[in-house]
Amino acid sequence: MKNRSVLVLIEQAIMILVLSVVAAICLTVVSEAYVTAQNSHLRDRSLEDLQNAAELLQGRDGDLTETAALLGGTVEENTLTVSREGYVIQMQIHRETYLGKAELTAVREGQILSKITVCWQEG
Amino acid sequence: MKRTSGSTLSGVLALVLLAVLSVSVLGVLLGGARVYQNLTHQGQEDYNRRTCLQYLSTKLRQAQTPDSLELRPFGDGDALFLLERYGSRTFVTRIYCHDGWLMELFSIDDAGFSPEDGEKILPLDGLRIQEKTGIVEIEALYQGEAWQLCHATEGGDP
Repeated sequence: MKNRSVLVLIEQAIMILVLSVVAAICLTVVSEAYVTAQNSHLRDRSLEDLQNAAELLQGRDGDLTETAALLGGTVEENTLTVSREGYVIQMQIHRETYLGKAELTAVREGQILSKITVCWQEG
Repeated sequence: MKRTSGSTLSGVLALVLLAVLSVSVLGVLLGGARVYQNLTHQGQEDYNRRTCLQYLSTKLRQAQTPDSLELRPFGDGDALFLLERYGSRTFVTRIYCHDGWLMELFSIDDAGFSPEDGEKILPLDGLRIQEKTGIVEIEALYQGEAWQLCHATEGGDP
Protein backbone atom coordinates (compact mmCIF):
# COMPACT_ATOMS: atom_id res chain seq x y z
CA MET A 1 0.00 0.00 0.00
CA LYS A 2 2.84 2.35 0.98
CA ASN A 3 4.73 1.48 -2.21
CA ARG A 4 1.66 2.34 -4.28
CA SER A 5 1.39 5.79 -2.66
CA VAL A 6 5.06 6.46 -3.27
CA LEU A 7 4.64 5.45 -6.89
CA VAL A 8 1.68 7.84 -7.26
CA LEU A 9 3.76 10.62 -5.71
CA ILE A 10 6.68 9.95 -8.05
CA GLU A 11 4.32 9.89 -11.03
CA GLN A 12 2.82 13.23 -10.05
CA ALA A 13 6.20 14.78 -9.40
CA ILE A 14 7.29 13.73 -12.90
CA MET A 15 4.07 15.18 -14.32
CA ILE A 16 4.72 18.49 -12.59
CA LEU A 17 8.28 18.49 -13.88
CA VAL A 18 7.15 17.84 -17.45
CA LEU A 19 4.45 20.48 -17.09
CA SER A 20 7.00 23.01 -15.82
CA VAL A 21 9.26 22.40 -18.82
CA VAL A 22 6.34 22.62 -21.28
CA ALA A 23 4.99 25.74 -19.53
CA ALA A 24 8.41 27.39 -19.70
CA ILE A 25 8.62 26.66 -23.45
CA CYS A 26 5.03 27.89 -24.01
CA LEU A 27 5.62 31.10 -22.04
CA THR A 28 8.82 31.80 -24.00
CA VAL A 29 7.00 31.32 -27.31
CA VAL A 30 4.04 33.45 -26.18
CA SER A 31 6.27 36.25 -24.89
CA GLU A 32 8.28 36.22 -28.14
CA ALA A 33 5.02 36.39 -30.11
CA TYR A 34 3.94 39.33 -27.96
CA VAL A 35 7.22 41.20 -28.52
CA THR A 36 7.06 40.51 -32.28
CA ALA A 37 3.44 41.73 -32.41
CA GLN A 38 4.35 44.90 -30.47
CA ASN A 39 7.27 45.60 -32.83
CA SER A 40 5.09 45.03 -35.86
CA HIS A 41 2.40 47.31 -34.37
CA LEU A 42 4.98 50.06 -33.74
CA ARG A 43 6.44 49.65 -37.26
CA ASP A 44 2.95 50.02 -38.77
CA ARG A 45 2.27 53.15 -36.73
CA SER A 46 5.66 54.63 -37.52
CA LEU A 47 5.16 54.02 -41.26
CA GLU A 48 1.78 55.77 -41.13
CA ASP A 49 3.40 58.68 -39.29
CA LEU A 50 6.25 58.83 -41.81
CA GLN A 51 3.77 58.84 -44.72
CA ASN A 52 1.75 61.63 -43.12
CA ALA A 53 4.92 63.61 -42.36
CA ALA A 54 6.09 63.12 -45.97
CA GLU A 55 2.74 64.39 -47.28
CA LEU A 56 2.89 67.43 -44.98
CA LEU A 57 6.47 68.22 -46.04
CA GLN A 58 5.50 67.89 -49.68
CA GLY A 59 2.40 70.04 -49.19
CA ARG A 60 4.67 72.73 -47.69
CA ASP A 61 7.17 72.46 -50.58
CA GLY A 62 9.91 71.17 -48.31
CA ASP A 63 9.63 73.97 -45.73
CA LEU A 64 10.89 72.33 -42.53
CA THR A 65 9.78 75.15 -40.22
CA GLU A 66 6.17 75.02 -41.42
CA THR A 67 6.19 71.22 -41.29
CA ALA A 68 7.59 71.37 -37.73
CA ALA A 69 4.76 73.72 -36.74
CA LEU A 70 2.20 71.24 -38.11
CA LEU A 71 3.80 68.16 -36.58
CA GLY A 72 4.89 69.77 -33.31
CA GLY A 73 8.63 69.11 -33.67
CA THR A 74 11.93 70.97 -33.47
CA VAL A 75 14.26 71.99 -36.29
CA GLU A 76 18.05 72.01 -36.09
CA GLU A 77 19.94 72.91 -39.27
CA ASN A 78 18.46 70.58 -41.93
CA THR A 79 16.91 68.09 -39.53
CA LEU A 80 13.44 68.01 -38.03
CA THR A 81 12.83 65.84 -34.96
CA VAL A 82 9.37 64.85 -33.77
CA SER A 83 8.66 62.72 -30.69
CA ARG A 84 5.92 60.14 -30.94
CA GLU A 85 4.73 57.52 -28.44
CA GLY A 86 7.42 54.82 -28.49
CA TYR A 87 9.70 56.30 -31.18
CA VAL A 88 11.20 59.48 -32.64
CA ILE A 89 10.78 60.69 -36.21
CA GLN A 90 13.79 62.34 -37.87
CA MET A 91 13.46 64.17 -41.14
CA GLN A 92 16.65 65.21 -42.92
CA ILE A 93 16.58 67.39 -46.02
CA HIS A 94 19.10 67.46 -48.88
CA ARG A 95 18.68 70.07 -51.58
CA GLU A 96 20.10 69.68 -55.06
CA THR A 97 19.49 71.72 -58.20
CA TYR A 98 15.78 71.44 -59.02
CA LEU A 99 15.39 68.53 -56.62
CA GLY A 100 14.45 68.48 -52.96
CA LYS A 101 14.93 65.23 -51.12
CA ALA A 102 14.11 64.23 -47.56
CA GLU A 103 14.94 61.07 -45.69
CA LEU A 104 12.40 60.25 -43.01
CA THR A 105 13.36 57.77 -40.32
CA ALA A 106 11.52 56.43 -37.29
CA VAL A 107 14.01 55.51 -34.57
CA ARG A 108 13.37 53.53 -31.38
CA GLU A 109 16.10 53.11 -28.79
CA GLY A 110 18.80 53.77 -31.39
CA GLN A 111 17.36 51.27 -33.89
CA ILE A 112 15.65 52.15 -37.15
CA LEU A 113 11.99 51.05 -37.14
CA SER A 114 11.15 52.29 -40.63
CA LYS A 115 12.52 54.61 -43.27
CA ILE A 116 11.16 56.31 -46.40
CA THR A 117 12.50 58.86 -48.87
CA VAL A 118 10.44 61.66 -50.40
CA CYS A 119 11.45 63.84 -53.37
CA TRP A 120 9.94 66.95 -54.93
CA GLN A 121 10.77 69.36 -57.69
CA GLU A 122 12.20 72.74 -56.73
CA GLY A 123 12.64 76.07 -58.46
CA MET B 1 -2.12 2.55 13.34
CA LYS B 2 1.16 4.16 12.29
CA ARG B 3 0.92 2.52 8.87
CA THR B 4 -2.62 3.90 8.38
CA SER B 5 -1.67 7.51 9.25
CA GLY B 6 1.43 7.27 7.01
CA SER B 7 -0.58 6.12 4.00
CA THR B 8 -3.24 8.78 4.69
CA LEU B 9 -0.50 11.45 4.63
CA SER B 10 0.83 10.09 1.35
CA GLY B 11 -2.68 10.12 -0.10
CA VAL B 12 -3.20 13.74 1.00
CA LEU B 13 0.17 14.73 -0.45
CA ALA B 14 -0.76 13.05 -3.72
CA LEU B 15 -4.05 14.98 -3.77
CA VAL B 16 -2.24 18.27 -3.02
CA LEU B 17 0.21 17.59 -5.84
CA LEU B 18 -2.71 16.80 -8.15
CA ALA B 19 -4.34 20.11 -7.14
CA VAL B 20 -1.08 22.01 -7.80
CA LEU B 21 -0.80 20.32 -11.18
CA SER B 22 -4.40 21.18 -12.09
CA VAL B 23 -4.00 24.81 -11.03
CA SER B 24 -0.74 25.10 -12.98
CA VAL B 25 -2.28 23.59 -16.12
CA LEU B 26 -5.28 25.90 -15.81
CA GLY B 27 -3.03 28.93 -15.21
CA VAL B 28 -0.86 28.22 -18.24
CA LEU B 29 -3.91 27.58 -20.44
CA LEU B 30 -5.78 30.71 -19.30
CA GLY B 31 -2.66 32.91 -19.51
CA GLY B 32 -1.82 31.63 -22.98
CA ALA B 33 -5.42 32.07 -24.16
CA ARG B 34 -5.52 35.66 -22.87
CA VAL B 35 -2.24 36.60 -24.55
CA TYR B 36 -3.41 34.94 -27.79
CA GLN B 37 -6.73 36.84 -27.58
CA ASN B 38 -4.88 40.15 -27.08
CA LEU B 39 -2.56 39.44 -30.01
CA THR B 40 -5.47 38.53 -32.29
CA HIS B 41 -7.40 41.63 -31.24
CA GLN B 42 -4.42 43.88 -31.87
CA GLY B 43 -3.72 42.17 -35.20
CA GLN B 44 -7.33 42.72 -36.29
CA GLU B 45 -7.23 46.34 -35.16
CA ASP B 46 -3.97 46.94 -37.05
CA TYR B 47 -5.45 45.27 -40.14
CA ASN B 48 -8.58 47.48 -40.02
CA ARG B 49 -6.52 50.60 -39.49
CA ARG B 50 -4.01 49.82 -42.26
CA THR B 51 -6.66 48.76 -44.77
CA CYS B 52 -8.85 51.79 -44.11
CA LEU B 53 -6.00 54.33 -44.37
CA GLN B 54 -4.48 52.66 -47.46
CA TYR B 55 -7.90 52.57 -49.13
CA LEU B 56 -8.45 56.30 -48.48
CA SER B 57 -4.88 57.14 -49.48
CA THR B 58 -5.14 55.20 -52.76
CA LYS B 59 -8.47 56.83 -53.61
CA LEU B 60 -7.00 60.29 -52.96
CA ARG B 61 -3.98 59.54 -55.15
CA GLN B 62 -6.31 58.46 -57.96
CA ALA B 63 -7.79 61.97 -58.10
CA GLN B 64 -6.86 63.26 -61.55
CA THR B 65 -6.11 66.86 -60.44
CA PRO B 66 -6.37 68.80 -57.15
CA ASP B 67 -9.59 70.34 -58.57
CA SER B 68 -11.17 66.93 -58.96
CA LEU B 69 -11.26 66.47 -55.19
CA GLU B 70 -14.12 68.07 -53.24
CA LEU B 71 -15.22 67.86 -49.62
CA ARG B 72 -18.98 67.89 -49.10
CA PRO B 73 -21.36 66.56 -46.45
CA PHE B 74 -22.92 63.19 -47.35
CA GLY B 75 -24.07 60.21 -45.29
CA ASP B 76 -23.35 60.64 -41.57
CA GLY B 77 -20.99 63.62 -41.96
CA ASP B 78 -18.01 64.67 -44.05
CA ALA B 79 -17.43 62.93 -47.37
CA LEU B 80 -14.84 62.87 -50.14
CA PHE B 81 -16.09 63.57 -53.65
CA LEU B 82 -13.70 62.50 -56.42
CA LEU B 83 -14.80 63.97 -59.73
CA GLU B 84 -13.97 62.41 -63.10
CA ARG B 85 -14.88 63.94 -66.43
CA TYR B 86 -15.64 61.67 -69.36
CA GLY B 87 -16.55 63.77 -72.41
CA SER B 88 -19.17 66.27 -71.37
CA ARG B 89 -20.35 64.31 -68.34
CA THR B 90 -19.02 64.41 -64.81
CA PHE B 91 -19.00 61.28 -62.68
CA VAL B 92 -18.35 61.27 -58.97
CA THR B 93 -17.05 58.71 -56.50
CA ARG B 94 -18.39 59.51 -53.04
CA ILE B 95 -16.51 58.11 -50.05
CA TYR B 96 -18.40 58.56 -46.81
CA CYS B 97 -19.58 56.92 -43.60
CA HIS B 98 -23.10 55.67 -43.11
CA ASP B 99 -24.63 53.46 -40.45
CA GLY B 100 -21.28 52.28 -39.04
CA TRP B 101 -19.69 51.57 -42.44
CA LEU B 102 -17.21 53.26 -44.73
CA MET B 103 -19.02 53.32 -48.06
CA GLU B 104 -18.38 54.14 -51.70
CA LEU B 105 -20.89 55.30 -54.27
CA PHE B 106 -20.04 55.95 -57.94
CA SER B 107 -22.58 57.73 -60.13
CA ILE B 108 -23.26 60.74 -62.34
CA ASP B 109 -22.70 63.92 -60.33
CA ASP B 110 -26.31 65.07 -60.15
CA ALA B 111 -27.91 61.62 -59.73
CA GLY B 112 -30.26 61.54 -56.77
CA PHE B 113 -28.76 58.63 -54.85
CA SER B 114 -29.01 58.38 -51.08
CA PRO B 115 -26.22 57.21 -48.69
CA GLU B 116 -27.65 53.70 -48.26
CA ASP B 117 -27.25 53.07 -52.02
CA GLY B 118 -23.46 52.84 -51.69
CA GLU B 119 -21.21 49.78 -51.39
CA LYS B 120 -20.01 48.81 -47.92
CA ILE B 121 -16.20 48.79 -47.70
CA LEU B 122 -15.16 48.49 -44.04
CA PRO B 123 -16.72 49.01 -40.61
CA LEU B 124 -16.05 52.62 -39.54
CA ASP B 125 -17.82 55.01 -37.14
CA GLY B 126 -17.15 58.31 -38.88
CA LEU B 127 -14.95 60.54 -41.03
CA ARG B 128 -13.71 64.02 -40.18
CA ILE B 129 -12.19 65.80 -43.15
CA GLN B 130 -10.68 69.27 -43.37
CA GLU B 131 -8.66 71.02 -46.03
CA LYS B 132 -5.78 73.34 -45.24
CA THR B 133 -3.51 75.00 -47.80
CA GLY B 134 -2.21 72.17 -49.96
CA ILE B 135 -3.17 69.46 -47.45
CA VAL B 136 -6.27 67.33 -46.89
CA GLU B 137 -6.43 65.97 -43.34
CA ILE B 138 -8.69 62.99 -42.69
CA GLU B 139 -9.53 61.46 -39.35
CA ALA B 140 -11.16 58.04 -39.51
CA LEU B 141 -13.04 57.28 -36.29
CA TYR B 142 -13.39 53.69 -35.12
CA GLN B 143 -14.24 52.36 -31.64
CA GLY B 144 -13.09 55.51 -29.86
CA GLU B 145 -9.85 55.82 -31.84
CA ALA B 146 -9.01 58.43 -34.47
CA TRP B 147 -6.74 57.32 -37.32
CA GLN B 148 -5.07 60.21 -39.10
CA LEU B 149 -4.23 60.53 -42.77
CA CYS B 150 -2.64 63.52 -44.51
CA HIS B 151 -2.63 64.00 -48.27
CA ALA B 152 -0.76 66.70 -50.18
CA THR B 153 -2.95 68.06 -52.97
CA GLU B 154 -0.01 70.03 -54.41
CA GLY B 155 3.61 69.00 -55.10
CA GLY B 156 5.09 65.76 -56.50
CA ASP B 157 4.60 62.18 -55.46
CA PRO B 158 6.48 60.76 -52.47
